[in-house]
Amino acid sequence: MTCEEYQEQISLLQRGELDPAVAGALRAHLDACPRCRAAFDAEEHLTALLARATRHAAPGGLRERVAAALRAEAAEQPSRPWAAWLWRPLVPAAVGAAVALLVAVPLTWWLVGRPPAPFVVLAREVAQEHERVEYTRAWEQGRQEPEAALAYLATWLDVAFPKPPKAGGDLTLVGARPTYLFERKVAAFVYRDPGGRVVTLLVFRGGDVQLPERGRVQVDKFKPYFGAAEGYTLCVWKQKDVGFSMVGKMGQEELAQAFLKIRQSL
Amino acid sequence: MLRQTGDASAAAFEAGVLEHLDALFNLAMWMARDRAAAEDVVQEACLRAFRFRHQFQPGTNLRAWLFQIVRSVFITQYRRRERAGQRVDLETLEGQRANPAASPAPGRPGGAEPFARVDIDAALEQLPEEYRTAVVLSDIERLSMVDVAVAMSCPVGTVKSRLFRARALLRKALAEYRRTDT
Repeated sequence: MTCEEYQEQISLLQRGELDPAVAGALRAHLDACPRCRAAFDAEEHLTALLARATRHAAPGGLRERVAAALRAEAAEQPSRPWAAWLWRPLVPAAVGAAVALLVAVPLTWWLVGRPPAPFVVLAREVAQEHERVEYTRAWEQGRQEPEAALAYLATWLDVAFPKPPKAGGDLTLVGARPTYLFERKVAAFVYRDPGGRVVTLLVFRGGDVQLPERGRVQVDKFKPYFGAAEGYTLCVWKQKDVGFSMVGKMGQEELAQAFLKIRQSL
Repeated sequence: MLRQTGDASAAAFEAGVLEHLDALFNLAMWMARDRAAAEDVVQEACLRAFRFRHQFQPGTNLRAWLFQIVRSVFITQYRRRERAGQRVDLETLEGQRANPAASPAPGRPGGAEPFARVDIDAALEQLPEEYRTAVVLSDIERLSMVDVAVAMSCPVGTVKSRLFRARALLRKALAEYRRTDT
């Protein structure tokens, strides 16, 4: 690493947010390099100065106004059977009301942040599985045209995302369905290559998802994250607040080719 | 029963928002640099957060999520005003502020205390919004890099580079004050 690269890491070290291995290397370098040591001291001085910057406190009247506005808003929103579920997004709206009735009693647990009772978890999984099965059947029986499926999944996901292509390189779109990953709604698009191998494209709300810096690979003009899990290769990228992931049983090079074909159409 | 739990959810959320009101106002003030505008931004952001409270992921940082909404409201309102011609162009404004010598900070004591609070505040105000917000969230509000990234809707790598550049600009601006002071 060059001195400049070390210096970029200094404030991270001071914040305790540096990877231990990198932190060790940086400390050793600081002991040996007077220039970087001076930069370290300057950073420390600046942090001390910033601690004295003004922290504006909310004016008293604002607190009251916000509280009043929130109460007025709460009064305007009619209380719905699944209103408490909105606090923790759990069930698809289509089956929300029915499941809320089943779990009305343990609902208070959710509000105080305790782990959900096993029955609540089961009820949620049951409802989600029902939705997956129902939708998958509709697709398989030809009641869902690709266009209708895309429109449905965009509405269901409640996020606008670019339309996945019906074909990309060797890949052909053969199915689509709603699914869930850790309670996060995900639209799954299934592609197949001529050899019968499946590549899945997952689309999800990803505003809060942080891609690791390590593992990013330059593919043409894009730089998605590539990784491996359970014998599969996967890549993950974001387009604005929408997260995308492609996964298949193939090498990184091959998945990168598939990624490029799909990504260029999005 | 159900009605009560629904109300309890709203009340719990309201308490959570009010707990962070000082922090939200601080960020709004540093972005808007105008008390009335900051109050408007915070009030609108709290309402928006309340309406979309089901989108908050439990277990993640509520404060970071609220900061994200405050910033989004500020940017939306700023652009609206800009379109209505009520405010100067952001780039022009930031361009003027990027040159510390063009707008010297208010009086500074010298001696053992090289920089007064006004120096730090003035130096911070000169930063472009994206840099300033990153510093305010990280150094004043003490958010982790990951939470700053959530609040600013950008990758952690972007936060790191913004902070690095912001700190370099701050050091330069503060050195400039010291020079003009002696």
